Amino acid sequence: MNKPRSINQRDQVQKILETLHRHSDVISMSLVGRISDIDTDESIGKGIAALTGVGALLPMGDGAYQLNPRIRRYLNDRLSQFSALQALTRISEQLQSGRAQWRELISMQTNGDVAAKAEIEDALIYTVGEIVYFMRQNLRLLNHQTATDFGNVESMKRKLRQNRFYGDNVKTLVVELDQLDAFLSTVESESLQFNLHEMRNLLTTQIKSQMGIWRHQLNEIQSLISQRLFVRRQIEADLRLLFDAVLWLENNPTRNGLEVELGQSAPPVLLSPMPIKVRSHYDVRAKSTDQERILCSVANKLPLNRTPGPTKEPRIKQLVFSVEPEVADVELSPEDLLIQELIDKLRTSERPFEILQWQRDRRIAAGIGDEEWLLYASSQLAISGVHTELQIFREGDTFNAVFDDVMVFPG
Amino acid sequence: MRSQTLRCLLDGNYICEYAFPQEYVYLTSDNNETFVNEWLSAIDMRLARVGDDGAFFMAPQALSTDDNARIREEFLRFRDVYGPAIRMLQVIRNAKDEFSLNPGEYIQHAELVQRINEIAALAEQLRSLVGVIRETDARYTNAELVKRLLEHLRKDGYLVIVDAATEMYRSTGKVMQLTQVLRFLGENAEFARTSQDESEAIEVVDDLFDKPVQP
Repeated sequence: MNKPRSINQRDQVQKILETLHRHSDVISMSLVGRISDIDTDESIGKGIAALTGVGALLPMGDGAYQLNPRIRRYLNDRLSQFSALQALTRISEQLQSGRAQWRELISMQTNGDVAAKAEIEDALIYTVGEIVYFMRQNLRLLNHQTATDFGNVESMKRKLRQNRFYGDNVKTLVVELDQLDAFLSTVESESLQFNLHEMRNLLTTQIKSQMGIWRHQLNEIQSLISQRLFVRRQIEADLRLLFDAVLWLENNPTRNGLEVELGQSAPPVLLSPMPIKVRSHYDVRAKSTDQERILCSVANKLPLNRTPGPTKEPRIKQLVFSVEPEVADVELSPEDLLIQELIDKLRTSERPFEILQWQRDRRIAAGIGDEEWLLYASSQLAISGVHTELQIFREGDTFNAVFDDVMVFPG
Repeated sequence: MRSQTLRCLLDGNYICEYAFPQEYVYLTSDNNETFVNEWLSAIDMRLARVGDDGAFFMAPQALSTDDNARIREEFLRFRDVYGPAIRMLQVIRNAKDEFSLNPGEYIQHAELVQRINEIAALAEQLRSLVGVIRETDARYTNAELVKRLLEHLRKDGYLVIVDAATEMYRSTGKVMQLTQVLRFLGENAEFARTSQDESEAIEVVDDLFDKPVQP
């Protein structure tokens, strides 16, 4: 089992990772094909040299280098970048190691060699981990290949070859799963005999519990490949466009888009319409209930008036000067003054009298004619409770009652 | 309806019979198409259609240099601009064989979920879209992811919900716009694939029925 155990080893790992990180651009370039140190700039040349030094790039002659296949495999796995006919990872080698390690464990248990037992147990645990990892990767690869109707090949013929290729791969994998099953059965029976329950539990938990799911998924994927191929014939042209686009996205995981030449006149459908915002403003001159409501809501949203209001007068002590209601002195007009004097006169008079001659000079001087005086005074006196009688006489040429004076009666 | 239709166009919508039925009826009635076209011409725009009889949308009278630059820029960001919708529609297609990327097709949430739960490869494909579908997380169930996928496409205008109770959706005319874009790209040298003639399909027809392995 390859475990970094010393400080020195840890330093070595860090140095290698630092080199990979420093020249990650060169690694990225070499992921899609070979890379050359001829006619290249200085930084890439240095990167190639450094990466070759740590075995990340392998020289292929004529100044060409290619990425270490293990690194390429790891990166492609991470980026789900599987090649068209990428083989499934065989687990035979791990199975063989597992069997050998198990036999060694039994031998140690029998001989009582406990010192080296832990190391073999570690190695077996690592082998089991590898088997589980490879199986998951294989299923991921198969799932990925069936994710599109085309997988990652362009033509129908290639798809069929790919179909057969994966059909064979799945068959081989199923045979290996059978062998793994047989190995697990051996482990189960021998673990009781040689008291290796811990290892039995580990293998059962890690592998046996997954076996059913793996078999089911393999069968399902193979069925799906055939089914998809059949459906493929019925795919409409538009759907093919969709799958082509998905294929491009899958095959170019490091690219965000592509340069497109639009030509003389690009079809307008390529330009998604940009919304044109329509924003209405309030017309403050408009008069309607709705408009008033809108204005009120706008006014409510306005910020508060920041200008300072009038300064407040300091509060002073309130003093009461009088509790009697004040009577305002009303200045009477000349005609009202005459009427008031007339009422005062009536209070002292004992006999009725006519009012036409009352203070006539003063009245004429104030510009109040006879007719105006009689009409105004008769009504005002009546309102004040004075008994009045019109001095009516008969006029020959009218049906109306005509009066030339008003008689007032005291008290 | 006139002002409603005009506003709908100004908002940048694709008006089809499924997404905006009333506006679509208005545009296809009487001589309204001519009127709207004239109205838009006052702001240097025009009424365009996706294909010959697809959704209506607002387009410039003539594509300007800026418009061409925007198209090119969107293709340079193809993965971000069109990638999510393409990958989500592909999940729908893989879970529903009848789906043919046409407007007006019914898509039910429960139907997709059932199919995806049955097939691990589909579930894997759906789960690879966590992060691509808006507001998703790896801890969500397949049903939750499908719901968010459908809602993502609805908000982007590719689907409308026709019955919230049964979570029934329907594809809109905007999917045709997407296929038009892809058709244009298909003519691009890098994007184009080897064309397959009918003879090839006929030649391979027998191979299509190979049986799955029964392990």
